Amino acid sequence: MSFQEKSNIAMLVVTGGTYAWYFASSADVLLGGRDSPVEALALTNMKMLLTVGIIIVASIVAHIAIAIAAPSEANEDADERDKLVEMRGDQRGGFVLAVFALGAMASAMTAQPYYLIANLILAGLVASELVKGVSKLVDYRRGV
Amino acid sequence: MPGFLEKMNRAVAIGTILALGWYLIRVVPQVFSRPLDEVTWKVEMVIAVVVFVATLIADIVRAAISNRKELGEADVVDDGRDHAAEQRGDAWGGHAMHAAAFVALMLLVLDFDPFWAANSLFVGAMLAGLVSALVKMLTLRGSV
Repeated sequence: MSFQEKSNIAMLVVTGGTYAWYFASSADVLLGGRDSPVEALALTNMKMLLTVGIIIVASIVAHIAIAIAAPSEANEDADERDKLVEMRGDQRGGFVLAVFALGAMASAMTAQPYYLIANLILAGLVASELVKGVSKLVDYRRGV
Repeated sequence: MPGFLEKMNRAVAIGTILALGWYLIRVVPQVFSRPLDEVTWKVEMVIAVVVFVATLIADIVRAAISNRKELGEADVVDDGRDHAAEQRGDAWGGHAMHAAAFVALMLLVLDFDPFWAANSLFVGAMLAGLVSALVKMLTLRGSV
């Protein structure tokens, strides 16, 4: 397994885990309408910033661990296959994000609360990253 | 003579420029001359999308008629170069869409009016489509 493949798995786990926690713990705010829109926005903003911090720290730790486990692989440049796998992942992730962006645009046009629009965009970015990660995982396993 | 795929991408580029140009001409002057609440943009956005789809369909039908022979002989995306162009273009478009979604998310987190988020997404999506079509055309011509 190449460094790029391990890195992809690590990012998939970190992103999936962090945002699974974020959306699960924010579900009552996002779906229930328990708080006022202003409170909901403040709460989700704080959690959003927290998730960014978690992802940065976790990804640094994961990449250091991967590099320590196999130092020679960490210095290898991405080859043609890695670039093709990356491009296919970007292509598929882009399609997913476009669908969510359309939904967010429609939400803004129909005057939905700020926090719902923001979380729809965030969900799009996360879904796109997850689709990209799974696509790369499948392409590395099955070949391109 | 350009192939069907190249003509299709040219149609996307022309449709995007026309629709986005028309939208910006209609909306931008309003932003500078009246309060944000009084700016009319929702109908304009829908019309811009309709203009884009209509020009796209018209151009694709025209390209299909002028490339009947090519379409009869092979699939639209039929060789390695076509696939590479599609993937590279979509990947670049995906990156542009990610940037637009990130900007829109930041604007909402910072409590800007949803007008700005919706317009960042709309303009970003149109530019992403344009970038994607241009990269595909350049790749098909062998410039990238």
